[in-house]
Amino acid sequence: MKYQMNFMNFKINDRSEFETYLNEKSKSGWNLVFFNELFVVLKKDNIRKHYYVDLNSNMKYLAFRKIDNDTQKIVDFYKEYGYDLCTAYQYFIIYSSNEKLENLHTDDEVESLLIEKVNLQKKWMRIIIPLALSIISILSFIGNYRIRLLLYSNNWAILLIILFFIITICFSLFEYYNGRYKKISFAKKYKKHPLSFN
Amino acid sequence: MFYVLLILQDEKCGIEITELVSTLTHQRISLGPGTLYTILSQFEEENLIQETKVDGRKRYYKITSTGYMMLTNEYQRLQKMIYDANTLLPSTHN
Repeated sequence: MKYQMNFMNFKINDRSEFETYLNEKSKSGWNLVFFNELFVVLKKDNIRKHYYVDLNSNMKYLAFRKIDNDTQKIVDFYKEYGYDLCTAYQYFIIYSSNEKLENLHTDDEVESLLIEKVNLQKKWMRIIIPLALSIISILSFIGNYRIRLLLYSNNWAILLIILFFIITICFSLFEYYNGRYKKISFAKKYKKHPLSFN
Repeated sequence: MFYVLLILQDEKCGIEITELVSTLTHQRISLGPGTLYTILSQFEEENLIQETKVDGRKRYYKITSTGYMMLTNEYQRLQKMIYDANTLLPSTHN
């Protein structure tokens, strides 16, 4: 069995590009095994599949990367339409089918609402996770007797912790603004009442 | 989305909603599962619809009183718009 590993990183706004990439690869017999932030692993099995890439706005899933009841509810919903869960990672859920089905997102305005929702949750994750890590690391530093003694006797240790804390905060802020400006402009444009779509 | 609320006056599951919207609009509007799921979850959050039962993998939804009120308000708003358009576009009657 042949495997192929391609170094690719698809961001949240690249949903349709990711879908096109997988479908093009499948045409030449390469099908998805798994993917993460750095690479996509494909397997040569010569089966033609149709891939549908969806976004998952479930906060718990984004945090722990485990398919819980809420995500299962979405997976079941798609199953009703003939889409089988292929694999999932972070905010992408990949569905596949042996036959060409209707696209998952048939309304750009609704899709932009979903992107906005996922981006909003990612924004909070960017702040909460590094902050929690900083607090845990500081507490573990202070909780340890030897380290505490080191803190009282050495100013450089305190400086090191403060430096670590500042770097973490700066990184969080950078990630927050980076994500904020990458967000597609139309996601905000359609923030209006749901009944106004059609 | 107006059509989803209109159809959910009776208890319906996802695939039934898609089929009915397509039939009602003469295939003008087709709803993919991603689009429909986003709409349904948003309506559920806003208490416009509620999940009524789960039958295997199928989940059934129905409009709430808040949703019904919103639907009738929207219907009246659309009627007023049609009335306004008719007064300004008399040629549409021909």
